[in-house]
Amino acid sequence: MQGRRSTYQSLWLQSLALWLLRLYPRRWRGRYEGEVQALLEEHAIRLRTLGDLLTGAFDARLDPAYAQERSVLNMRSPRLTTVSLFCAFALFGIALLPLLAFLLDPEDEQNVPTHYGDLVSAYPLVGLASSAILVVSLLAGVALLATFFVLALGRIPNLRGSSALALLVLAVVAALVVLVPELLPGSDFVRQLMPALLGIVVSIVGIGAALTQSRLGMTQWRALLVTAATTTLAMVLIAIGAVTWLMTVLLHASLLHFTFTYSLSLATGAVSSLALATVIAVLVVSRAFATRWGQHPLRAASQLPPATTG
Amino acid sequence: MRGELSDLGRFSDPSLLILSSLANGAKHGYAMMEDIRAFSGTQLEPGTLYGALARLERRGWVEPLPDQERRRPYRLTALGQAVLREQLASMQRVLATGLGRLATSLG
Repeated sequence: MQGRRSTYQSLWLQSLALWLLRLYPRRWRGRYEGEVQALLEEHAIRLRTLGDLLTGAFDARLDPAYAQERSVLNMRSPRLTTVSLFCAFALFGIALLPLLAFLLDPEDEQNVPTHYGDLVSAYPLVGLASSAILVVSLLAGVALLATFFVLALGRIPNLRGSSALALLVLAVVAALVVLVPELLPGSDFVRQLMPALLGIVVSIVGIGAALTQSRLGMTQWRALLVTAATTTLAMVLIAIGAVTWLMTVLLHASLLHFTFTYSLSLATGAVSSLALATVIAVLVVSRAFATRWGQHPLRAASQLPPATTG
Repeated sequence: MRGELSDLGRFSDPSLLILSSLANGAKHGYAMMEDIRAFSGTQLEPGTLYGALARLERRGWVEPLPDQERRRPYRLTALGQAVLREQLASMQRVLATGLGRLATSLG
């Protein structure tokens, strides 16, 4: 009986290992997949093997030699990469809006319960971690906007027009919030919070669009990379916090005397979007650092090594 | 410039084991894994093995031979031999120095 279970287990592990090969880039598979399949048929597959294959797939995805011609992660197309990064930032910002409204609006009784105050009283470390995430997020946001302001006011002619428009949108939204908050929907808290975030999202998209048309120098490119990386770090921290919160709510819904509502479905969608945007940003930024820190993104675009062919 | 093993980052140690395994003749992936386990006690897994092999092949340190029933053997090139010899000589100097100093301090 135990022998049969062991056979099933090894067959299941082998199927999973063979499936993991699909995560590798197409060009890698064209060259090595047959050999690795033959090897896996002889090899005693363990959980460690699966982890190793998964790490290898991630590593191959980051390897410029296997970059496809039209890929979000391909530094041969800096324009597409920049657009992808800013779309990820925008998606993250848009997903954050309803989530913050659910979590932080004390007036809405329909919202998902957070029990944040009780949690911090019981576990002070949670409060510290939340504060750290908030500080990093604020610093990243300030660094991101400050860099773009500096770039916009700099000597890059193509950047001025679009950035000025984006900043104008931000200023109009901020003025609207301050001067006539009653025009905006929702409670007072949401009125103050959501338009400001919306303005930042619109600005980021506008500045991103401007950057794709700009002739970036090395200094500007590196400044963009560093601020994008800082922002991505903040996104990672927020996404981890959001996923942890959602898992806690889902797992302990009965203990919290909480019934599943439309709000929770929306919160699940928002957290999933946060996670997706974060994964895209991490992949793009890590790829950009790995391949383009010391090279001009446009001048060096055609100098990547050719991909290995089978 | 032919580069160094340390340029391969996290694949530098597996690469040294692969080059050493191929030093006495061509081998395919599974044979390399078994050989490496026998002479070093290290169990390389397929993802790491082929991550390192791909990099060694790109640098021209190993080259593939025609495949035999889906199993493709690899062999060391002249450049790969030179890199391996240089790396082992460097390790031997470290080894001799360390052992010599240990013997002096203990004696």
